[in-house]
Amino acid sequence: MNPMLVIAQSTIRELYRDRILYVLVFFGIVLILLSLLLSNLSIQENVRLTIDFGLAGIHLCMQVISVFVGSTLIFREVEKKSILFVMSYPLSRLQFLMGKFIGFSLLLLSILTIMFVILWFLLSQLEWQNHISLPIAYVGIYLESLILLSLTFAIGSVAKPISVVIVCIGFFLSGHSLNSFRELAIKSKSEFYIFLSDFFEYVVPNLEAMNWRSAVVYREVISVTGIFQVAGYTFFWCLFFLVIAVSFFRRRDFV
Amino acid sequence: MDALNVKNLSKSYKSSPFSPHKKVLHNISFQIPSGGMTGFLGINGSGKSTTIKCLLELVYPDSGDVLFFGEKISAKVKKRISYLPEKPQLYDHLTGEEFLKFTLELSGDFSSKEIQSRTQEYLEKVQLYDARKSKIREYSKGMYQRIGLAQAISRKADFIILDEPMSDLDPAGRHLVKSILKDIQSKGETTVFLSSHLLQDVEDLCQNIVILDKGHTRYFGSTLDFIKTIKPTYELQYILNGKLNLRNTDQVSLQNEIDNLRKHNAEIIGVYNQSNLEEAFQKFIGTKL
Repeated sequence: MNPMLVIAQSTIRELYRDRILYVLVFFGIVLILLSLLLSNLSIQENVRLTIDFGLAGIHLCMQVISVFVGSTLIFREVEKKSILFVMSYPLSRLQFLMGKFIGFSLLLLSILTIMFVILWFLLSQLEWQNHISLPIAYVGIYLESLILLSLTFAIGSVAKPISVVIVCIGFFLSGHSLNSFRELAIKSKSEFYIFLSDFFEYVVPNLEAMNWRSAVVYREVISVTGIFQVAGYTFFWCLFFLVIAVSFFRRRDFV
Repeated sequence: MDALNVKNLSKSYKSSPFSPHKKVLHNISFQIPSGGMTGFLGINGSGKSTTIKCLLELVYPDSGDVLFFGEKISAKVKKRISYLPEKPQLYDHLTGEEFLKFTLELSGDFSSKEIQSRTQEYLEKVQLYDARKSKIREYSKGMYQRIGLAQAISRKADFIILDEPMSDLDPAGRHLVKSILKDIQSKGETTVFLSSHLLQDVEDLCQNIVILDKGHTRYFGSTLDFIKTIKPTYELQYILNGKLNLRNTDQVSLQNEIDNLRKHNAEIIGVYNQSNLEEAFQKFIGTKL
């Protein structure tokens, strides 16, 4: 087996046995179940509330897992010095990082799938009419998780987890505020603010681009082209962050 | 061809971005012949572990060349090398069996059938077969060290680097590891580079030694030749007035001591050469300090 895939497999096994991950997944499932309780607040809009809160819960949980678990993934190996014996094997640093990334990405996909199955089950109990936009929201949340995960790799290849978490929260908040900031900049008609908004769009990934949760609530249809464009956009940002991660990680001394 | 050729290797570290560079290795050079076992000696902080990390590019040297079997380190060369770090930190969420399988898969040399059989063989070799289903984090220090050793020797490596493989072992564990190393040595195909503070073990196992002191190579060559460099001391055992006595003396005074004892009608039991690696090393490093 390719050494990168061996590392990916090992990463899945490592995280699968990590109690912190279980706590976070449990937290996510509680949020989904909570959405069912919240739906009782409204008789007419109960399905809509369940979808809205359920997706928000899944979204929040997935991003928290990406950032908090992702931030320790490389750090743990270096700090515990298990990296010393692993890197003595015929394995490049690029393969090691990519193996870790692939492993965690696949694990995120499986966690997301479990949560969506739970939400789907709850919605089916509420006589919800199935709609194509639910799987699209699933794709959107996963793409956002991948961007944040690759960001944790970029920062985590040189910094401690606390710094990684702070930077990622900054990117998460600004990434979801880019559209609002742009609207404000246009309304203000200030060239400086418009310049600033353009600048941020180049340096921060627009995480609202993959927010298709409202499309599920309002039963909107997202075009296939739109999905592919966002997937391409995600791929670009992931690649960009991973290139940064690898270039830092390759130069690092494991003292 | 030498198994390892190190030429003018230098390395310096910065403890923080604003602190000055601290030079840890100063143009060290040595060669290790193919086959057999070479000891790597030096007091704490002499740069042994840094040298080993430089060999494997776990840290990047500032300058110098490292050639394994005449080639620079690459994935191809790494297939021929295995390594046990000092106080190894392994994947302790795995069981002993899972860990060995993982490392054999990572080496990329074996089919799944071979992985299965080698895992069993090496778990038995390091006497951990009964503990194969236990997580590594539940292992004692000695077991931890032995599973680390198993990952280093289970690969088809031509060059094995062991950094303090016997440091956390009890006498039985040390005996086991020594017998495994002697077994590897008897086959004569693998070169072992053994860093250790246990000089008696190094003397027993290693035909050659490399001595590092404050980041400088002080000696590399035959272990026996090194021991011969110091003035030998002798232990005299004799019976005088019905009591067994011991006396240490050097080569110059030895004959006088024997003559003197004979005058007093002492029965000389034996004269033993006390020179060993430990004594030679201490005298050698003492003179260099």
